[in-house]
Amino acid sequence: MASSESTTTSTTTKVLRLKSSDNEIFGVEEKAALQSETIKSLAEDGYSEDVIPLFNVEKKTLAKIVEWLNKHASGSSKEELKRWDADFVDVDKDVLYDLLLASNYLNIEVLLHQLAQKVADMIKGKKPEEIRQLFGIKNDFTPEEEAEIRRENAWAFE
Amino acid sequence: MATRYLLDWWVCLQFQDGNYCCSNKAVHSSTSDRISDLPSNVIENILMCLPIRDAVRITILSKTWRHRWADVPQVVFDDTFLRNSREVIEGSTTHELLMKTVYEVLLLHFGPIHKFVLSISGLKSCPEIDRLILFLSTKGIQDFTLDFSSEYPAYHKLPSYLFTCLQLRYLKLCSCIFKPPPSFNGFSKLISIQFQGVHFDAEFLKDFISNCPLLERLKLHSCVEISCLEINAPNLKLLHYISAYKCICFKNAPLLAELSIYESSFGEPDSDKRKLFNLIEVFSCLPAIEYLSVDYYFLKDLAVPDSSMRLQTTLNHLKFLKMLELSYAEVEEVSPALCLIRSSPNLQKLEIRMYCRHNDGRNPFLQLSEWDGFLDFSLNQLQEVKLQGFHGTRPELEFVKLLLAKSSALKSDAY
Repeated sequence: MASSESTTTSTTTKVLRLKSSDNEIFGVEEKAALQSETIKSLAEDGYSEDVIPLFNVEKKTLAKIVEWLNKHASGSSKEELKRWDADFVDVDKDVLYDLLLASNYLNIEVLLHQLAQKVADMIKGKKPEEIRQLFGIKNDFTPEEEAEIRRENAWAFE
Repeated sequence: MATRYLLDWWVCLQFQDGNYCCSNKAVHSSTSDRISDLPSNVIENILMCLPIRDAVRITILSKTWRHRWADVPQVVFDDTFLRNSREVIEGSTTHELLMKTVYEVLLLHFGPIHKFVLSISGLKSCPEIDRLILFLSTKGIQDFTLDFSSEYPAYHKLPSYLFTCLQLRYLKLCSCIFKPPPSFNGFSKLISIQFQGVHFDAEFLKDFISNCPLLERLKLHSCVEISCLEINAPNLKLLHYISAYKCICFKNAPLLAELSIYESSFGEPDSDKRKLFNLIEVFSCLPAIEYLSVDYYFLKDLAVPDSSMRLQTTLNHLKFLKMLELSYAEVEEVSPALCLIRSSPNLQKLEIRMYCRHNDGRNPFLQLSEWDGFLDFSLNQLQEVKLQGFHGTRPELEFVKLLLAKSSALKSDAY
């Protein structure tokens, strides 16, 4: 349901303007921006001529997201993208959470999967106590409850 | 659209609230537990990236995590399920214990299971698997993999319940017997089939394919010999076929972009039994072909139009061409190969694995180059040529010379 204008101007590159929650505006080529399903539906709802407000994303996170969108619309080779993506997700946990929330809100499935994979890689192979420590999770089980869960899933704790 | 829009706003407000709290750096330190508060679909995404052992161990982290795994709609029993995949093969974990553990895990899982994989080294055919399939048929299964170890080819006969799983979109089977009941009308939502060593009635395949109208990917590897592989699949984009066949007919494959066909290694096919098919007919039925990978059996079977050495339909979309076990000394292999190359003006990558049979000095290029329009083609998009098994014989050198002369953009010749 592209607007009639976007079909007539399809030869020129259309730029969408995205506004972060702290009022910073980012210009992003339409092709790159539409990788986000949320931006796509906002654009279809008539926001495309004006600024698209993204109330959930701060400018520092939106800047990273825009960087990802541009890279993934740039026609880079698969190998190059793989290397680039590995660097992109190599950030500290708080940035990772912000990116996870933003990619979830913006509905960018590929990015959400890459970030989820990064968190999974941090969890993989670790003992429960190590995972708790890494992510600051407080163990609120009694020793009896914990023993019960271990018995329930004995095969996984062998 | 309006509902979606309202929902977005609702989520916005909730989240802004959260952001407000989080902007306080003291709360925001890297050891604060933000992961437990991530939205449930984000957690689900993370858990789906974990091997099953790690995903189940999550239950013990805290009360928030206690039942997080239980409704993830994906259960994958692969070799990460056991600490050591050799356990079953070597007998330190018995097969009975393995299946008992699979059952235990599933008892602790609630909700739908859209993706299920059972692919463990040493897995054997047993009645428990049929009960699993019955269980899955009530769980909205969409993506199903059943893979028996090649060390114990089990040929598990699939129960009729499998054919009631009409939500199936992806089906991957290895070493199974696939015999649907007569009342079966196809999987109307199936997108991808991957069969390896699967026994089915050769005549059944044709109707099965046309009864899966959404089918996009079909991979058949070392299955039964099919006398005529007839493809009637309006949405098919990929076909990998590695098995015996006598003839191939692309009845309806307008979107087929990637095609690999190899005769399986069951032994030399009986060429007398084979019906030659016409190169022109085959490729005029494949208007979208981009990637083509074939072996010399396929090439030998193609009747080359001797008047033009070129197809009537130009393969405008063909970008990648791979030919295996090609012998430069055989004119009946070289001419269809050249015919394909000459008809593909936009070819970008060419890969040939050569087979050097006894060289008796024959040079098909001498014979072919006598033909008038032989040099009348160009490969301006060709960027990469890979020749494996290159021995530097006269016909091989002639071929390289021809490629270099015809491709202005050629960057590298790798031997």
